[in-house]
Amino acid sequence: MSLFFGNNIALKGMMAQQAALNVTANNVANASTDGYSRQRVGLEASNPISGIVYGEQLGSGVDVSDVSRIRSEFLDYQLRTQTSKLNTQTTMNDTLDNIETVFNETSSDIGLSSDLSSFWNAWQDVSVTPATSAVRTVLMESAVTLTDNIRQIYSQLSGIQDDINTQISQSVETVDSIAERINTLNGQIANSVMNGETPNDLLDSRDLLLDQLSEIGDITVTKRGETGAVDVKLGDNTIVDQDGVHSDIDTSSVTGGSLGALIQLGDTSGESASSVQYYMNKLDTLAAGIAKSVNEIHFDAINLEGESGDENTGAEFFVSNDGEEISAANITINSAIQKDVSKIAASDEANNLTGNGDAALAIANLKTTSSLSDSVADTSTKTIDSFYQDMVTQLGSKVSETESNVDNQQTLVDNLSSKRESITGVSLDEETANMVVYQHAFSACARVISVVDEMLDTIINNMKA
Amino acid sequence: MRVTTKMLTSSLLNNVNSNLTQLQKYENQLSSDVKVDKVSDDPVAAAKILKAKSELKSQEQYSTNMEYASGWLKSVDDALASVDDVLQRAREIAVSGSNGATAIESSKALGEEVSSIIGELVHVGNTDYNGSYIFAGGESSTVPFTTIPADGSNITEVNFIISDSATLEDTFTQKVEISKGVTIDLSAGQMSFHTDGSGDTDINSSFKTLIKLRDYLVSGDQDSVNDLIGEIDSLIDNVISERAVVGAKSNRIEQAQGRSESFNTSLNTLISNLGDTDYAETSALYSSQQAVYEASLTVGANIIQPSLLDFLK
Repeated sequence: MSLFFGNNIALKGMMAQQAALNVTANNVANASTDGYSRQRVGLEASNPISGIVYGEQLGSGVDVSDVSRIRSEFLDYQLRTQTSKLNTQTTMNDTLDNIETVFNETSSDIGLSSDLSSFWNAWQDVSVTPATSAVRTVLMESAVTLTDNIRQIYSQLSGIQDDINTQISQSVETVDSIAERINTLNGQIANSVMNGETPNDLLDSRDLLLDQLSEIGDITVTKRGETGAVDVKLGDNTIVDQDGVHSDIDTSSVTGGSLGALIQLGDTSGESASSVQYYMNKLDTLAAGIAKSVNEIHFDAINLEGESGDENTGAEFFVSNDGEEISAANITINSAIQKDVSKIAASDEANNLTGNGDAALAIANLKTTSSLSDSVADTSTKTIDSFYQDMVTQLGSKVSETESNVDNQQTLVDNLSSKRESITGVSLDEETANMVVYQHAFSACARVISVVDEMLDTIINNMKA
Repeated sequence: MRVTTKMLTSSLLNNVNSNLTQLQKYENQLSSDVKVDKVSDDPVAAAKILKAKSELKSQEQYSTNMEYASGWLKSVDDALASVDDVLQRAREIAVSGSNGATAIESSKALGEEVSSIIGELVHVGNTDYNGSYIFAGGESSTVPFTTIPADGSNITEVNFIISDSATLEDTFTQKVEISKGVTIDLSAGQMSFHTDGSGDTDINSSFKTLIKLRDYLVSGDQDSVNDLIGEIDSLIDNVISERAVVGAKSNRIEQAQGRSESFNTSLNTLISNLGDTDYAETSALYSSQQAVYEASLTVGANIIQPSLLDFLK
């Protein structure tokens, strides 16, 4: 056995400590990198040499066995599932909040409910002094405000609906591009694995992409055997497998993530109170209901010129501005009335009484007597006022429900990501402590070499034959 | 549990953020005086507020209606008082005209006076309130009484806008809603102007009687004048009954106004209780939230700084 053997052990030690120090440096450098998992150097004792001295085995130093990343796949799975749900709720909440802002039923006296009240009150005023043109003008203006606002709200809702559709197609594009990158990484990872390496940073990048994908939709990740590659499903769609990327996804099967929420919100059947269409339909029912019940009374009533029915050019109080059936998109006030308020028919007596306001009173009373039947699901009948109030309240409840869902889900996700961070994150204290250990071990190995050097010096230079 | 630097910062940020959100909520409530700003802030309370506000708007309208109605009835009552005065004077004239001692000349003079009384009655009959003729029933924008000749001298006939007694009833309807489903008919004059001595509808009966009185006086027909006194008496009775009806309507409105006011107050209280900020409570919450926020910032500043590196040479 030679003295160089010791030198060699020390050299291997120095190299191992250096490798460990490099990993530490890499960890510290990536302390704030998204998706980075801390890495650890696996050190193992080299194969011992047998029987050279005293017939015993003698250690031959240290080897770097592997550099591995610290990661919990179970936490990854949990976190992705919950992030998916969180994003569904957040997107839902954001959009419903937008819708609520459009209706603008706030503490101040704005919004449709106040427009409706002013409209009914204007009819009351007309019923009291039917012959005064000032009150008729006020009524006409309040009806114009009401119909303008209904149309405006409707068009804003359509805007939100369009926006949702744009976001859906953008999400699909994002999914495609992420799938593309995952597929590329799959290939690179499989290559490395075949070469017997552990592609830590590639795995981190892929995990980060999967995290991002889970924000968009509910994903299922399956390992493709021992190749290191993964297959990914979004909803029921396989988007990445051994054949590569599949970009023609059917969004309807996506239930989680922001995309899942967008699909629900953009649903055009109008059955769910979480879809924009639902509120558009409600507004349609409201507009058509007001128009129908007011027109019914107004048509047969008598205007200031003694005309009623077909001879009164303003007999239809509400009309549509595009020739279609009256809805929230096209409701407007008859232009004949707008030009000449004496066309407003307030009297229901047959003998041309300018001071009779019975018809106007009957219309004003629609506030509490009218009934709207909701064409969707609900068959109960409500007054125009309570129909609208119920809708606004329902919307408000939805917003506040999703708001508290977001809060709860956020807590859960925060908790899980903190757990994951606890496992995979870089602790500077820990790295510093490791650094000290590696540094001292390195110094000690170097010291061994210098001791061996001295020993050799003794043998070569100081031993006199 | 292993604690990393990133965990510390992110949990600190989350907590500081949620504290600040809460703080902002209270600050908003205090500065705006509103607790339920959007429906989603408290859907249950908001539903009640929306209902109450709509109800309040109706009540405000009823109040406006009642103010208008009571002003109207006040001027109806004033006008009917004048009608009463006019008829009383006519009765006095009739009494003195039926007296056998009255010479034919004085009788003619009395006839002249009745002539001017007729003019006065037409004037009262054409009283308007805010542009609407109070005795015109549903034709409130048309002058109700016109005379022949039109200049009002030596009137031979007075015409009302309606000449057919069958449709007269329909004319006298002017409904005003004073509370939900309760209407009051503001039309007046049917009793005082168009009802004869036996209580039957007879258009312009008061004018007819007065014109007859004048003609008898001018011709010196004392017996016929004497016969008319009873008729004038029942006309006066008609006016008095109509004034009683008007008075009763005014009373009804007054009571309804009282009820409406207390209802408005309770609605406003409800809206305020549900939707307005409770200053005492919110201020207290605000202060404690502020303390929490400041504490989280201080602690955060202390936790984030040190690491093992600070203690190694």
